[in-house]
Amino acid sequence: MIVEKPEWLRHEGLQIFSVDFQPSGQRCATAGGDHKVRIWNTRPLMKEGEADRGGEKLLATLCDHFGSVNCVRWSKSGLYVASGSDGSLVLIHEKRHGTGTVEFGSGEPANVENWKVCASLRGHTADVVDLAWSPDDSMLATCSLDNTVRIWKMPGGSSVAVLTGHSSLVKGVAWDPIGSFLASQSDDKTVMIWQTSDWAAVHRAEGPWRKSVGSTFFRRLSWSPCGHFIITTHGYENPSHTAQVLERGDWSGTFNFVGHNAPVVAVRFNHSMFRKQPLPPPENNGEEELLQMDPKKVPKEMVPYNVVAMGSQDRNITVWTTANPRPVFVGKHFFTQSVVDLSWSPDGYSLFCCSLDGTVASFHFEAKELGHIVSEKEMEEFRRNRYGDSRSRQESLAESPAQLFIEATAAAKKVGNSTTIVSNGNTTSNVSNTTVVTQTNKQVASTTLRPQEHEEAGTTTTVTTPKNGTLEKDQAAAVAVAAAPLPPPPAKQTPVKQREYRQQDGRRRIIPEALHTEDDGGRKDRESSAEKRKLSPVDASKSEAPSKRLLGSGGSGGGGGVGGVRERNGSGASKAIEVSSMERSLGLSSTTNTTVAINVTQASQLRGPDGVLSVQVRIPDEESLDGPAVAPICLEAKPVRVQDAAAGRGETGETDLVCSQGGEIRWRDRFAGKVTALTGNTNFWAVGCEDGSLQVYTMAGRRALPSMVVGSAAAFMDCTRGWELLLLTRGGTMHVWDLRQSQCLLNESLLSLTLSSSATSSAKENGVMRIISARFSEAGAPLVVLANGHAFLFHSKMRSWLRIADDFFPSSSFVSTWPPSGDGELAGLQKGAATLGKTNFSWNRTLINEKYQTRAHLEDQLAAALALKSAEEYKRHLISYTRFLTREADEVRLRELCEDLLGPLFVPDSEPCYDSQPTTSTWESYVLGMKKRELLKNEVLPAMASNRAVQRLLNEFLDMLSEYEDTQ
Amino acid sequence: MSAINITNVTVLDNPSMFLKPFQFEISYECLIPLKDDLEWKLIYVGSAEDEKYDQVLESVLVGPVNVGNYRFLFQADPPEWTKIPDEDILGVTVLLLTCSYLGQEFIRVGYYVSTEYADDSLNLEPPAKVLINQVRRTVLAEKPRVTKFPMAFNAPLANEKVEEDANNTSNGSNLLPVDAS
Repeated sequence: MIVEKPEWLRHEGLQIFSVDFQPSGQRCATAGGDHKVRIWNTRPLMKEGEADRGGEKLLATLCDHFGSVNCVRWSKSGLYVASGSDGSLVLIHEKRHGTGTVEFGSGEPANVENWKVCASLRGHTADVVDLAWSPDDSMLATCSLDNTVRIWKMPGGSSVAVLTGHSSLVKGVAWDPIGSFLASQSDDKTVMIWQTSDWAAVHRAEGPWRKSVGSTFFRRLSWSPCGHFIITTHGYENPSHTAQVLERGDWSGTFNFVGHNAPVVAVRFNHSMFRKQPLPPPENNGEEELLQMDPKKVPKEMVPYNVVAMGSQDRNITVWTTANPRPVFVGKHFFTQSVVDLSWSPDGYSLFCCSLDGTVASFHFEAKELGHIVSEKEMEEFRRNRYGDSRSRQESLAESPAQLFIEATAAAKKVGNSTTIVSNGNTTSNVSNTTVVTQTNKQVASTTLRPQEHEEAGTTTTVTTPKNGTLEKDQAAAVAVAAAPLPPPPAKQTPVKQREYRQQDGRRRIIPEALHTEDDGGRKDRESSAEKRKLSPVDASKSEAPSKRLLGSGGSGGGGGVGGVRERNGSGASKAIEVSSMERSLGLSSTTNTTVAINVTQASQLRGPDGVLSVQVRIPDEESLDGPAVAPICLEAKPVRVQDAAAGRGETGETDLVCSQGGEIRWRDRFAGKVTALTGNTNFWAVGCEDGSLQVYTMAGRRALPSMVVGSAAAFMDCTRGWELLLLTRGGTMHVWDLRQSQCLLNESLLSLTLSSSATSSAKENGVMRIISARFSEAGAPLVVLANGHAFLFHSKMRSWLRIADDFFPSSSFVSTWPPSGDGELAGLQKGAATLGKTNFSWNRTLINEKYQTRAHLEDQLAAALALKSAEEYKRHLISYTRFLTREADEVRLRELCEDLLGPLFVPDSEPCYDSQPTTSTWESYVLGMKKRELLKNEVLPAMASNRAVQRLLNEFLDMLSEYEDTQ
Repeated sequence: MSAINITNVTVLDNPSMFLKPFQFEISYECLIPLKDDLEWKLIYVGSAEDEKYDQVLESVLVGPVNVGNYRFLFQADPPEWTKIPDEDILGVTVLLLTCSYLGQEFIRVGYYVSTEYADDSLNLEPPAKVLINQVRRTVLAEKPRVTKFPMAFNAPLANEKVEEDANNTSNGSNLLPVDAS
């Protein structure tokens, strides 16, 4: 055995809290009290590396934490380094292309390797003490002094679960190498086992920790590579400090390791198992045979055992094997303070220990001391025999040819509509990104780098899709070139090419010069920005902003440094003004919500300059195909004016009604009272008066009905193509009549809307509900849009109002005020709601929020599209929703969705129903004119192919579909 | 994680006469695109005794803030020497370069600045009244003191929220439970 304490491996002399080997063994990471994570080259530390000790030792110093870094762990892939620090922050670092940079002002030498933060996980509310990657790197568990363990999805960093159950500081986490469980140990003197399938606590062990006294920095427990044992820390059993062993299954504490004179702080199993004798060359009986044999029959030297290292507050290190009750090795006097973390090298023979005294010691063992390592292949075999094939659990393999086929077709489809609103789409973004990358890389590589290209490369990071991107880029580049002269690409001492101007408020604003170092062109860079873009599609549209600002900023003075976002808000606002000119108010007494008072405001807003109301009807007729288009028929209501010498101009209170076509008057009428609303179609005209009366005319101008009295003046009127007339009075009552049948279809107060939250938020002046429009939807249902853009649809069968557009999902990935997400009716309404709601979209979002809100939002959209009977949009949202559920692997919801689309397998009438409630017969095979099963087959199932986690469900429904088709 | 890291600051025209403008070439990298501009400020600490002598020499907005490496030249007028207590004009003081986002400072670079007469004979026998034209300042450019402040760049900020609430009465989103977990 060789022991070494490298003097150069330090954290400015401060404590080193954690040490971890990269699984490839090339690097190791340490974390310390100097708030830094350091990445070291392990070559100079290893036995065989003595030859090239001259190489770079410190590869990178990561200075992104704001407090002591308590834990650092490599992902199993070796690509990421996760670190947790005081102050609740968890950071994920990755190595990017290019050389490292100097951390400005840190006094550190330049980093050799370019490690950068790629994600920060926020959620803990106190210091993060320990963390662990799941065996397949798909998740990260972190534990904190806020008494919780958090699970994060990797590498994106979205929160998966928060495990609350410990009643005190959680100081250690360990994953089961099989991936089914997670163990955590806390200051509440318990160890908890959580199952990873649903994150429920499966066991709470209260063992010998109960008697433990004192406090330790960490309680770093460890799970054996065979998956059978958990060794915990900080146990006490009179008279000695122990490390208690828990066994998988009943999680009982059967035995423990005794010997340390102070609490054990950290335990780490070797990655592999060992055996006394090297395996004889495989003869008739292969390795597998040996492992499968009854353990009693295997010669004692052949039984594999675990090797575990322990570090304690008594400053000693011990190494044990599970085959021997006495330690293999006891290391004393290596440290002056507590040992807090340990890490085994991937070859299994070197152990690194770090201590609060700020040093690291390495111990290099030999085969005769620890035994002979069991090969990785054999370990796999061993685990598989014991726990089944881990690959089946990960579900990353396609299980049927159908899956592969559907994936391929779905992928092809996706590339086709990569510009549609559907977010997600790993494949799409990757496809577009790679093209961008190749472009820019070429530009960077070309040696004669003209400034234009240089600018271009600088701006491509913001490009979303290559097609749109090039346009923007060119604009940006053109402007930048026009502004700047043509110096060579930036070297250190060139003059800075920046553009500067003064804003309207007198402040200087600088548009900086874009530099690009090698790492700029790096693929990773782009991938991560693509990742971010994916998280918030709003950002993607923002990418247009820079070029716009460059163009617009000079002349207009920039309008404050807000760029694209506010520009757009501006245009939204102008639209709002346009809309509100047509807005009318319905009075509501604010004291009692049960009575609706009449409160007229701005009734004349719809009028033309002379107070003339008009409505046009275009007659669709067959003859106009050849001849010139028939001029629309126009109905105008003009207040009758009297030219009186004494009173000047005045209104008589009477109204002239003139119906004309192409300037030729068809009929006219006059009656008392002011007209407040007009509507008409090819069947009838309707005129609403201020006194609450309603006059219906036939096309030719006959009064079809006596004046109807509706109580208060008409605020909005609308009609369908047929005979339905909708009237909303200022008193807040909505009437719908069928004029042919002389039948009332609806008489409903808007009162129910006024109590909803969307109305209260829209009620700007007390008690007055502002309404932008009341009309028939395209499918003929009454629709009311409030001033804040919230839209309500009346469901005639349910006789209630349904809110189909609102701004309640600011964090949803699918909310966007721009560009209009489609041309459908629902999209239009929702765009209105989003613009008028003025919610700050990109800014309020957090990851968790986003997930729930996106789902809820999509579900709402789907239901709203259904209510509006907007088939195209229903289909579109159905696909988006399926994609979303698929990405989240939400099998329960997916199943329900598919079941609804598939319906009962047998045609209902083929089976007699004895049930009082024949549930099967209620299933409609069509939705909005689309066959549900076709939808399932052509849209939903292909969308589900993108995530293999749900492939079983997919297969199940594929089978059922084909079965159904067979029965046809 | 900080969205913005300063990669380098070069003090140009250093040392220079007291009445000449300051010039800094600032390079930074941006890891996340930001919606708003960055605000850079240069503050001259007139007197160690009292903050009221601090002078903001210049404040400038830099943007748009997109992913990548950037640099710009930051120029600022010299401090108004008449506002500095006479006894503090000469000697050692501090220059602060700060960067904030949405009004929140997240990085601060401090430099020591020594001011003395360019002519050594004047340093030996300083005149009763400061001859400001003769004073030279030297920024200790190689010893910056960098302080970072934690900041969640993409989280909603308190001040922004207030602003939003103020001009947006129809904020229905506040009614939703924020965290379903």
